[in-house]
Amino acid sequence: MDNATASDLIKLAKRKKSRRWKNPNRLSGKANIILNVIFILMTIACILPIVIVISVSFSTEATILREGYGVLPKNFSLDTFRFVLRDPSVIISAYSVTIVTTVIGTLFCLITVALFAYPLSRPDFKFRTEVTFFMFFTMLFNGGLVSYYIMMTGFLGLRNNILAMILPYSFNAFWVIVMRTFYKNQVPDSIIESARTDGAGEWRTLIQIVLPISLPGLATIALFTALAIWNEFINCLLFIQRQDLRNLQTMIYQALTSARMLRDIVASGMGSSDAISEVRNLPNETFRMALSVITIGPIVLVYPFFQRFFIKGLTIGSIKG
Amino acid sequence: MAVLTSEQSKLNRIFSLEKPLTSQNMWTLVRLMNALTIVTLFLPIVRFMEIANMTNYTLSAFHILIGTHGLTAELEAASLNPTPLMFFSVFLIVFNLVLTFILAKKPNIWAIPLSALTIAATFVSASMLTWLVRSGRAELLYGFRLLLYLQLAVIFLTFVGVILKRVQVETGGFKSHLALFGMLIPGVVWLLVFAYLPMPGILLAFKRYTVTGTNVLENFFRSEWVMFRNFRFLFSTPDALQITRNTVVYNVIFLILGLICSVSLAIAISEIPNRFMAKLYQTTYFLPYFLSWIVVGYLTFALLNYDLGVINIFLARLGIAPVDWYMRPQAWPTIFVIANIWKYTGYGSIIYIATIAGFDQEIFEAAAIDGAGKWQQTTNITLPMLVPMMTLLSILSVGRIFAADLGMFLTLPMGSGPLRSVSNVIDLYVFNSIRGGVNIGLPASAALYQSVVGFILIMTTNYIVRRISPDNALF
Repeated sequence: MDNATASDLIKLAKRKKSRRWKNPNRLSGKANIILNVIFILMTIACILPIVIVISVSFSTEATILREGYGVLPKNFSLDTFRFVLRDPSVIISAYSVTIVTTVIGTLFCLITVALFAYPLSRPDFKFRTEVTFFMFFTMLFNGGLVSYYIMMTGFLGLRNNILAMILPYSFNAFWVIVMRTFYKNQVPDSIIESARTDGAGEWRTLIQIVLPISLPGLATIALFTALAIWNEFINCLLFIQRQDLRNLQTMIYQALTSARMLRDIVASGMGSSDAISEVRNLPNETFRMALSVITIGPIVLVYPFFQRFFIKGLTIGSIKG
Repeated sequence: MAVLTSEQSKLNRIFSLEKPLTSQNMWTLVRLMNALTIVTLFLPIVRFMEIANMTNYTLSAFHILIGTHGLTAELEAASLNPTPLMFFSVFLIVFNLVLTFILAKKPNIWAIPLSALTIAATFVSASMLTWLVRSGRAELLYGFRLLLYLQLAVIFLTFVGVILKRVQVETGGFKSHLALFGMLIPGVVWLLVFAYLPMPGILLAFKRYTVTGTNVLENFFRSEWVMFRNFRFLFSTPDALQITRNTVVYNVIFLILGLICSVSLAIAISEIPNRFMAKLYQTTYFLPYFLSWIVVGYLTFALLNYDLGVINIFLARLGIAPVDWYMRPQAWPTIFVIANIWKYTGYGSIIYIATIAGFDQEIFEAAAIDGAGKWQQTTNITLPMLVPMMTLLSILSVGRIFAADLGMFLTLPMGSGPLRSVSNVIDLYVFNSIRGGVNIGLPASAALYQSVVGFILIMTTNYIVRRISPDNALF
């Protein structure tokens, strides 16, 4: 390489650009095949449980009870889903609760974090260190689950209140740090200076200039917060006893762990005139799996579109963070 | 050193200080005294015994704030000496007065309303106290409570006034900082309520919490101080060792194995020549992260179910007897590890993939030309270049080694009893105790134990990393 002349290097660069250039450092064909095989196996291992669950939900209850779960639907039938959708009131209420908490919670979190991170990113804000410490300390030490529970129920009185699932997610110190770094790196000082000379106050600067530039960061926060709230169930289990305020995850958790709960959900669609013997014929096993399919469904469908943004957000946030 | 005002010089002369009181020192002093004032509100100064329940408990000025009329009867019955309480109350009022005038270095708009409020409070409060002592009437106790609220408000305003004064002087004007403070308000309120307010709750670990009244605060103050008895009880049971062992060992395994798997996956995916396939694989392995642990509970149920689970069906076809997985603790550490890796490897590898993608390819090409094989390139180039990122991501995990992933341990075992010995982590123990409604001093002590150890761990690991390579430290 030392003896390469300028013209040699130029020729090399041109060769690299041509379509038939094969990187000499790339994997040999054999290793490539082995690697791909391993990856395909891993993919199967990843997806298989989901496929099983979906298959069971599309099977006939009787066949399942006889033969057990399988990878392919046994005696393909839409009966379970037809049964579920006959009176989906429980599922609809759980879904609406989840959607409401996700939307409102994400909104609150975005507003709070975006507002809070802005002063921290301004070098002329004299109390940066104090406020940052005030916030950062809570990441190191907290009062524990017991104090949190006592505070939520005794002090705030949030038992059986939908806010119990929203408020804990309304602020996140980690995202504040990410956003602060984002503000500092993405927003050049010159823009803010020119805004200042044009007479814009802090609020105007934030809303009209800084926020539009920081949309990618905000989008990342929104995605991750929405995912966290959608999947959460611990707050619901702790604070909510009313059946109609249950989260989607909590509802299917109870359906999975408690046979009685499952029967309540399954039988919710039946009127009081139905005989008890009919309850015994209800599709329990397939119903369970159908419930989980209804829960996973939206996520798996939406996932291919959104995963790109998640990945982008992770890499931008972390590398610069 | 700033030029001293005439008032400051006067104060200097009065107190004959060696170092002159600059405005900076003054404010620090005032803030300190303010904090002390608030603390004195909580000091247990009056001790009496509740004859009926034979428990000892103490009163502080703040206790009166949340007490009920029932307290009056006890006051009479227990021959309470209210004089200390009275003295403290008067002390607070006078102290406040002095504070207000120290605050107002020149006739300051803050001094006027604050002084007026304080004087009013002094007057009315003093009279109420005398009535209270003499008559022990219930309604007056309410009145006294109101006045103590008032005093608390005054103290709070003074505190705020000091801060505002400092802001005014340091920034030469409120306007821009007012807007910035406004932006901080939602976050600060949230932090105060959800992060700082529960912190005194750790004191629950030192009490035997009994539900005696209607109010949570009242229960808290009326519960007996048992000091370390809860801790002694906790550590005398086999529970403590079990939950600690479970939490720490699982987290260590997750950390090490997770790191190995994420990094290996990242390196492997980066090597695939076909970029489309690489993206496809990356997308696939990222999916488990999006499923909640409950859904994963369903998936494991579909696999491990005794009658119908896929694994047992498969074993039956091979002629092996089916296993009741949910009753066999020995299998579950492995199951937990597999589940954790399944869920988080894809997520963890993303950052490493992005890092590797950012590497300059020339060094790899040079190594290839020098005859290094793929494996050598990986171990000698890729891995060392990934170390900073690995360190950064691991510190936070090490600091959280005492905090377990509650979701997994709660949902996967599906509440099976025999599995408790391998799935009970500290968080789960506390969670179950809260829902079980037993004496919460016990899980409170476990939670405190967890918070304290976690804090020490984070500080220690950060200190160590800061010594080795300061760039990778957290703070």
